[in-house]
Amino acid sequence: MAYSDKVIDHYNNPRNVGSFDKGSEDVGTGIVGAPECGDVMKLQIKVNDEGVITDARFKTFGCGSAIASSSLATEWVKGKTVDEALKIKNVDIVNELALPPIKIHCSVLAEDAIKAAVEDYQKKKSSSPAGSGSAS
Amino acid sequence: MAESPNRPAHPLDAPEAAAGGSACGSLGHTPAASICAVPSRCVRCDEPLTTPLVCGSCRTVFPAANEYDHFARFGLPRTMEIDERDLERRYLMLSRGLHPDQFAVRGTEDKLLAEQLSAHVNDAFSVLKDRFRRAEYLLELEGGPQRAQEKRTPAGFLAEMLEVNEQIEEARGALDDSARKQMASLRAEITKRRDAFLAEVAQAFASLPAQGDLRRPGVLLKIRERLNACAYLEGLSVQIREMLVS
Repeated sequence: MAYSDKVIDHYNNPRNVGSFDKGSEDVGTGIVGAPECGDVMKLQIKVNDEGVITDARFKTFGCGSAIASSSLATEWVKGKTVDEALKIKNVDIVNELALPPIKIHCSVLAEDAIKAAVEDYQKKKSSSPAGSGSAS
Repeated sequence: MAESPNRPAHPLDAPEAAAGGSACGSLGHTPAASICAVPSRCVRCDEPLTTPLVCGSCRTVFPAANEYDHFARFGLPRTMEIDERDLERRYLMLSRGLHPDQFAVRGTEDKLLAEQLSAHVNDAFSVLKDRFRRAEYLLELEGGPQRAQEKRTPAGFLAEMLEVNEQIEEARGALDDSARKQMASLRAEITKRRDAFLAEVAQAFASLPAQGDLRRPGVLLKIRERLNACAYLEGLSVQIREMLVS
C-alpha cells in the first residue's frame, strides 16, 4: 500500500509536535488509543479567553497515517473555536489525506483526540473557581 | 455411513451439557475417561469414551461435536482456570483419536468429519493454551464487548503508555549497553503488568454475575478494559524484543 503525498509530507514534516503543560488552565489534553494496533495519540489545545484555539500540539506513537492524521488535526483546530473544532469529522481527514479504507481508524482516532482534548478543557473550565466568563 | 438418523437423543448432541456441567468443578482429575458431563460409553459400541469428539475404540466420530465451543471440545468447563498440562494431554488424546491413519479404512464421510474436527481441535488448542487468547475467547462466549467496539483502558493507562513509548523511542535513538539493560528490565516490567491484568481478568471471570444480573455488563467492561491494556503491553513487548535483537 502506498501512502499519499500528503501523508508522507505530514509524516516527514509533522506540524506542531510536542507538549503543553497539561496542568495549565488554558490547556486541554486528549489521550486516545487503538488497542488493535497499539497506537497512542496525545493532542493538546491551548484556548484563549474568547474560546478560540490559539495553538495545538500532538505526540503520536503509531503508523504514518496516525501521525499524519493527528498532525493535520492540530493544523485544522488552530484558529477555530472549541465548538467549531468539534465539527471536524474523520471523513474530512480521510479525504484530505486520501487514506485507504484500512487506515480510516487512524482518522477516527484523530477525531476522538480532538473531542477528548476539548472535553478536558471544558471540564477544567467548569470546575475552575471564579471562571473568567469566557464561556459565552 | 451407518449412523441412524433417528438414534435416541444423546448428551453429546447438546454442547451445553459438556460445556458447563456442575460436575466439572475440579479440573485436577487426570483420567480422561472421566471427562466431565460426557457420557462414559460410546453410543455405537458401548466402549468407554476417552474424548468427547470421537470414540477411542470404534472410531465413531460425533457430528454434533462440530457445534461445540473450544472448551467443550476438550470436555472442559468455560473457565480461565485451565491446567495447561491437562489441556495438552487432552489435546494429544484428541489428535490421536482423530488422526487420518485411524480412518484409512473408513467411509469418506467419517474421514472428512474427522478432518474437520481435527482442524477445530487445533484452533481450540492454540486459543486455550494462551491465557490472553483464552480470556478474549471467553469474553466473546460470555457476550462481552469486543475490542473493535470498546477501546477503553483502565484509568490513566494510556498516559502511562505514552510515557513508555517515549522511553522506548529515546532508547532506540542511542542504543548503548545501559539503554539495552534498561529496555530489558522495562520489558520484564511490562510482562509483569500484563500478568497482573490477566490475574484480575481471571478473578473477574470467576465471579462473573449471571445473565440478567445488572452488575454483569460492568464486570464484562472491566474485563474488556484490562484485555485492551494487555494488547498494548503485548505490542510494546514485541517492539522492545525486536529492538534488542537488532
